[in-house]
This record gives sequence, C-alpha cells and structure tokens, in this order.
Amino acid sequence: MSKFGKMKESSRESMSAVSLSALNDAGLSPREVDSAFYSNAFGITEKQLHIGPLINTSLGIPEKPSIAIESACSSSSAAMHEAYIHIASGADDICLVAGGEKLSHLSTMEATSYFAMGSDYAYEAINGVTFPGLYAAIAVAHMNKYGTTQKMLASVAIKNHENALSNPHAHLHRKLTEEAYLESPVVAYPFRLYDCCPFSDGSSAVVLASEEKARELKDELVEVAASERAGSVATLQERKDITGIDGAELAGRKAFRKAKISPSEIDVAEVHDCFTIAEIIATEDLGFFKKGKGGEAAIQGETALGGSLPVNTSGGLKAKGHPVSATGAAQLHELYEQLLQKSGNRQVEGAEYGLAHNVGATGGSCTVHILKRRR
Amino acid sequence: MSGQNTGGHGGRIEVYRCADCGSVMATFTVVCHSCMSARIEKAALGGSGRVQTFTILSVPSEAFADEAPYAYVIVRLHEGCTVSGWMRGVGSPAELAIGDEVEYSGMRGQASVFKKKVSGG
Ligand SMILES: CC(C)(COP(=O)(O)OP(=O)(O)OC[C@H]1O[C@@H](n2cnc3c(N)ncnc32)[C@H](O)[C@@H]1OP(=O)(O)O)[C@@H](O)C(=O)NCCC(=O)NCCS
Ligand SMILES: [Zn+2]
Repeated sequence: MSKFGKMKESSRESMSAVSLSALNDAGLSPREVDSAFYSNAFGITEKQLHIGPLINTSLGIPEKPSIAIESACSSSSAAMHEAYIHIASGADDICLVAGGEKLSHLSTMEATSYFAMGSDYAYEAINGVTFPGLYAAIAVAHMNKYGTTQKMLASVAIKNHENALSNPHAHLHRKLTEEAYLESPVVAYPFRLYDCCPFSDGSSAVVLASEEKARELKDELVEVAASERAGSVATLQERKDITGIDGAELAGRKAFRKAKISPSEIDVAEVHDCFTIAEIIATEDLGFFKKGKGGEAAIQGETALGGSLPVNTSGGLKAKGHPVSATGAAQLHELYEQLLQKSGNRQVEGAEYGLAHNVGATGGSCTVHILKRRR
Repeated sequence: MSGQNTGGHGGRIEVYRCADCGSVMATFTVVCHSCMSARIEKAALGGSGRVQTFTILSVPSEAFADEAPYAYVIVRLHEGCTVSGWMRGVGSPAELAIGDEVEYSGMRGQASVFKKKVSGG
C-alpha cells in the first residue's frame, strides 16, 4: 500500500505502483494475473472513469480482463470478494485487487458534496445532512439508548491515533489527548473534529491466489477463511433500529460460520471506524461485545493493543486515513502483516485469526473477511 | 425519480401506501415491505410526529452553507412511518431532544422543513 495522506500522483499512477509492488512481493509478474478488480469510487473527481484498462496497460497486461467495482467506502473489500469468488469457482488462479482514491485536490465542501452522493441523496443529502451528520445521528441514538458517552467516543479516537503513530503508512501521526479532543471544533453534534476520519489520498493492493498456486509462491501464507457480504436498508429513516447495522451483523455471522470459528477466536480486527461511533457499533455487530457495551469496552482498553481484542492496530480510518476505495484492501494489508508477525511496535503477539469489517456508506453494503495464518 | 419532497404541499408530506395491506413507507419503493405487493399508491400524511434521532451540523452541506448551525432530524410520524427533515436555527443540543414533538411546515428548496410543535399537542 502507499502512504496515506496527500499524494502528488493521480489514482491511476498510485494504484499502478501499489499493484506492481504487491505482485512483486508475491513473486509474480503482472503477466500471471488472470483477472483484475479495481476500485476508484471518486475517479470522476479526477475526470477519469474506466480506470481498469489504464492500470492494466501500465502493468503491461492490456489484454487481461479488468472491472471497476463501486460500493462506496467498502469498494475494495467488495472487489476482494469478487476476486475470491473467481478463485473459489476455479475460473482463475491469480487475481489482483487494488483500490485507490485522490481527494486532496478537492476543498472540504467539494469533497463533502461528492461523499453525500453515497447517502440516499433524495431523502438524506437533500435535507442538509452530510456523512459526519448521518453517523452523528446514529451516535445520538446510540447514546440515548445505551448511555454511550462522549468520553467513550473520545477513547476510540485516542487509541486509533496512538496506534497510527507506529504505522508508517498512516495519514495522521499525531498523539491525541482527551483535552485536545474536547477542545476540537464541533463538526456535527456530538462529533468533534477528532471523531471524524480525514479526507485522505492513497492506494492499496492485494494479490489473491488459489491454494495450489500460493503454495508454489510462498512458504508463509495467509488464507482467506471467509469472504462474506450482506446488505442493509440504505436509508436511515427506513431502519427499524439505527443503533446497529444489520447487514454487518449478517455478514459477520456468515463469515464466522464459514470460517468455523467464534468471535472470541479473533486475535486482531480492523473495523470500519469512519467515525468513532462506527467502531463501537462494529464491535457490537460482530459479537465481540454485547449490544450497547462497545463504548465501555473501548474506554476500558479492551480494544487497545494489549487488550482482550486489539481493534484497528493500523490506526483505523480515523488516523491511518480513509481514501475511500483504498480502505478495504488496506485493512487486509494490516491483517496480512499482523498474521505474518511483521507489524513491529503494533504487533499482536501470535495472532492466528484476523477479521476485517468494511461498510459502504452507513452500512447499505457490508463486507467481512476472516484471514487465517497458514504455516 | 423524485424524493419525498417534490409532492409535499400545505403541511402534508408525500409517502407510499400499499393498496393491499395498508402499510405506509416513506422511501421510494415498488413493492410493499410487509407483504411484497406491487400495488403501491402515493399518499399524503399530516406530518407531525416525534424526533427519533437528530444531529446539529456546524459544518454544513453545500446547499445549506449559509444556514449553519442547523439540525437534521429523523421523525417518526404519528401516522406510522419515518421521514427525514431539516430544522432551521437549532444551534445546540439543549434546544432539541429525542422524543420532541415536531411538525412538517413545508419546503426549503427540496428539503422538508420541520418545526417544533408549539403547545396544544
Ligand atoms: C472533519 C472534517 C470536516 C475536517 O475538515 P476541515 O475542517 O476542512 O479540516 P482541514 O482539512 O482544514 O484540516 C485542518 C487540520 O486538521 C487536520 N485534520 C483534518 N481532518 C482531520 C480529522 N478528521 N482528524 C484529525 N485531524 C484532521 C488536518 O490534517 C489539518 O491539520 P494541519 O493544519 O496540521 O495540516 C473533514 O475531515 C471531514 O468531513 N471528514 C469526514 C470525511 C467523511 O465523511 N468520510 C466518509 C466517511 S463514511
Ligand atoms: Zn402490503
């Protein structure tokens, strides 16, 4: 993956570079790729659609099939799922997945307007709500129902900023204190600046191979033990309960069934913390903590490094950054390094199972991957 | 496609009603979410209800750039479905709470404007 933050390159340049380095790391030439799956949801802001053939051409494989997959913030985990299906079906042996985004050429207002197109525009954006606002409305409901507090939200941000300090790829390398959190400007009540992920540029790539091929390539492997997707009603007003995301719950249940493990067997998790409340809800939806108890678990350090389940060791979307289409693949990158014990200061000792949870918009699309260390 | 707002007139808000089972849905649909009937008709509701959740935006969206801070509300209508709306001039959470009675009061552009209900219930 690239360093997240502000990048000079276009999405096309950055996605090509990370794709080539992922293939090199796997010991492969681009020529060995059977199909490529790319995500670049906001490519239109760079006046570029249909990025697949451009990347394939820069990789020297214009004849290979490529497809662009858009699923808002969950685009590249959705792309990963499609690649997984291609391999599991026997159609392909090697697939390339890459996601990237460039947003830094947009003002905050422009980016906010583009992002609002991922909501149910006719009912949500039209009434003046932004993405921070939608998740803020979810937070207000969660606080009202379960007594989740502002300090619990703060603890998620503080932890993720701390984790990002030891992630060289992270966008924000800034230690956060509770005081600084409480002094930061309000964006959408109850969110302050530090409840929100930043607008980031960046790219990430994953190479997926059939078991047989993978064994020829490497001794140390990470297996996709489950790749599951599900959906929820897109529009918050139609949900029975907005204090959870039922599509994420369903994708999680399907993934645990497929991997034949229970939530307690996960050693490290990357979850979709576009806003602090989203991490709390994710840890509840996935069954790591009881409904309504995610905030308490966070403030007590259960999700910190050294806690019962380290969550977002990469710094999460909050501090690693959220270049929309790069996020899903970047979560898998973090788990890959964790499972191969390559995470340096933020290593979870002896991690065997990792889980990635990636949602599009407010949870209309949900992907859960479970990765397993193979020796 | 039109949103909920293109049809809201005179204190009424446009929704979708199932001609078979009577379910009312606020969001565009071609089937009934209760019985899967495709006999969906447009209907208009009175537009008063209670705040189910809300937020107060200090960093506004483009169309409301001159109006911050303001509230975005999700409102459970007394007639039985849930809609989204906009409230002018709400600047702090002391001014709005879950459960507050609000009523639809027309449109601002394409947004559905809600106001706090003034006495009488
Ligand atoms: C919160 C938000 C409004 C802040 O934007 P902003 O006020 O324009 O911030 P700026 O870009 O002017 O940045 C000001 C400073 O704060 C930092 N910053 C910006 N956003 C930050 C964030 N979310 N967290 C921490 N620091 C942040 C910047 O790095 C910058 O620091 P510097 O002055 O040292 O360079 C914007 O980041 C946002 O809308 N985030 C949410 C994105 C989103 O909706 N994603 C989709 C999720 S589903
Ligand atoms: Zn019906």
